[in-house]
Amino acid sequence: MKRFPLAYLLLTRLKNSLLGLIRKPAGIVCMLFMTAALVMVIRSGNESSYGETYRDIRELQAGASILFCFLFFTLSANGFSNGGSIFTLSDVNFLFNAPLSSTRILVYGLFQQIARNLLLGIFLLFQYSWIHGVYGAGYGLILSSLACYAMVIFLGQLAAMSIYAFSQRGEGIAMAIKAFYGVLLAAYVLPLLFALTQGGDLLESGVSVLSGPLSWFPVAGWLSSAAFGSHLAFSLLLCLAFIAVLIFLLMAFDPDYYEDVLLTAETANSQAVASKEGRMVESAPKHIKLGKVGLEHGKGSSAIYFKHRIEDRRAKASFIGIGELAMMIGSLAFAYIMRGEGILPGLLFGAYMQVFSVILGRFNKEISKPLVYLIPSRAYSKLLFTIASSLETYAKEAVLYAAGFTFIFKGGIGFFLSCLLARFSFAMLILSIHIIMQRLFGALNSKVLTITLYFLFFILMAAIGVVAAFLLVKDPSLPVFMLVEGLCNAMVALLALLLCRNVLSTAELNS
Amino acid sequence: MLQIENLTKSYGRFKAVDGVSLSIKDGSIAVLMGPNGAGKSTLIKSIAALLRYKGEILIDGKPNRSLEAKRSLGYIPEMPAIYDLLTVSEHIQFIQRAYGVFDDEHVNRLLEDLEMTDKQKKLGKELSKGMQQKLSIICALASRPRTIVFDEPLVGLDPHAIKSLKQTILALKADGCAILISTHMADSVEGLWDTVHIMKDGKILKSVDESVGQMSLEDLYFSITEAK
Repeated sequence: MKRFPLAYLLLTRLKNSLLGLIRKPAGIVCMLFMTAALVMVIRSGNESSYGETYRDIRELQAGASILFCFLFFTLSANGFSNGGSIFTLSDVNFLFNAPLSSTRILVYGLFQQIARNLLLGIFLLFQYSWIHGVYGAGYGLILSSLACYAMVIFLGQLAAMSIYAFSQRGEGIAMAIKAFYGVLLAAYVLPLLFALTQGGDLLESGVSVLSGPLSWFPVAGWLSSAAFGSHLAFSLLLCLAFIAVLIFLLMAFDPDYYEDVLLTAETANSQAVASKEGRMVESAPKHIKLGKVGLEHGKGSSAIYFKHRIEDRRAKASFIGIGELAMMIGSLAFAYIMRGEGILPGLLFGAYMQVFSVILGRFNKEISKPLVYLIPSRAYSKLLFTIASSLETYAKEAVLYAAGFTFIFKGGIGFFLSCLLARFSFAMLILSIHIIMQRLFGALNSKVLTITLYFLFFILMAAIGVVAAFLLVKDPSLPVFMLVEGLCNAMVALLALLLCRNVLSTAELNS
Repeated sequence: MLQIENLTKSYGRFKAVDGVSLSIKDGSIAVLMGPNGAGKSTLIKSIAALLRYKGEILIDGKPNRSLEAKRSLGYIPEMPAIYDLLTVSEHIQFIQRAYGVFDDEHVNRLLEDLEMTDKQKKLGKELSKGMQQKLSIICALASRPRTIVFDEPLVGLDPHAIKSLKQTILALKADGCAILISTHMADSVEGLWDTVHIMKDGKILKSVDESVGQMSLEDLYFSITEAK
């Protein structure tokens, strides 16, 4: 072992993280909670079926292909700005100066990254219930999807690292890589668009091309096919060849890759430190155009809202990020696939995805700085203006979602408005849970406990609307079900906001 | 011994370090001073082989990217990022394995000097910023390097640790190590230095030996930077 410092490092960290989980009561509670939830998901999945027959499993493969393509391209695109992040700043400080070969360090970094990605992908296991119910998929498929998901992220990061390393060689090379990147993306999107515009059933057309010719598309096609067992050996070989080529190119043309990962590692470390200290990091573009300067509007607490508008403009914050957009499209795709079963599966799946996609906006950033506590205005007024820009964002996002949902179900204006209310109210509910958490457990340091309590609150508060809608409407396929659900959610969220109106006079500045 | 010959580091058209040459002999301490953005950290990172550059950096006569040079170099970074899931003693064990130097007596002395003996079973994530800085220093010195570069080493340390570290640095000098300390706080290195290099806008404005210096480091710094 004395001769293998990198193996020592990996194994010791793994051992300590496992011991850390066992030693902390909150960690044990969380593990038990997660295990119980997983067992419940698996059991309910085994007992449930959404229809008499299973849907075409190729639909799932097509969905995986789109998800993998999205992940690969968004991750590797980081290579045009700041490179991949397979190394931490600790790695930079301890390994890059050590008398160890850069190739061995690279292999260590890649290995470490695959392990991290597998952990990140555990959420996929929780999709077993509906995937089994709808498509009849077994454990093997879920596990192979998890492995392929981890591989996609790994390959995306490796590609980002390579793109960054080569882009630094000169403007011409960077342009050539960008052009190649664009051609590759077009090679995926154009056949898909062509198939969708040929008439016939959209779903069938899309599935045919994604599980057919596009199953040979680099990374996304290879790994979605591998996950579903079609041309498995060939797909895996192609992936391994891709990894080998990238590593060869990196080591042959850029053995001195340390500088390329330094900036990313430093940025990631600053974010991690800020997160540990309870500070939020502004994700703004590198070069900010000032544009119009000055606040112009706002007096007292309303100045907070106008400050947020300027900050959002400078940070180029869209009302919907690329990740959130992907989740919304995924939710709508699910609703489209399940449209035969009525609106309920789509609606609930959309709400479930919202738990992960609702952006808190400037609220969390604001409460981590002293200013909001110092402004001489009433606490409830400051709270309202602190969340105002987030509410605006939720409304815009809800319009987009409701339009898509109404189109899928061919609904009218009443359907659209009901859906809009339901979607917006779920976002409000999630925001109100964050405010409750801040009000009740602002000083709580345990992230595990915070997340567990957050989910418990969500289940309890969302259940009120669901139960009320079932009791009052009975038939969940009616649009009025969404209306009742939305109204209940909104009332619960408003009540929570009312009860927590003084949160800004009781909250603690943790940073 | 550390030798830097005509070092230039550019980011696009901007030259962060512009044609710097300097040499630090064994058994001497050089201080690199300059305002924020002068290029000190870039120079230090180049010495630690973390950046690409033009020019030549030799550590004990070997190119700084070679494994031999890395064995001779101790680097204390400005941001002491340590592993959350390793204990203090495991950090040191890792360094011992990576460098192939197993001098427990030396490590125990370092732990004692920096008051970390009773913290050996603490995980990285349980350490305060100051303790992380101390651990970073211990790890850099555990392999008994002959050339040591410190990037703002005293930031975040308590007065006792500052005193101990200064003593350690003087002991390393007496032991024949070549030491480079980058800082923008003149008073923190007063009485430590043999040579000071004043840096601004990526260039060394002036290098002064302690033996010919007539004034305090702070006065010397202002007389050079404000005159320009």
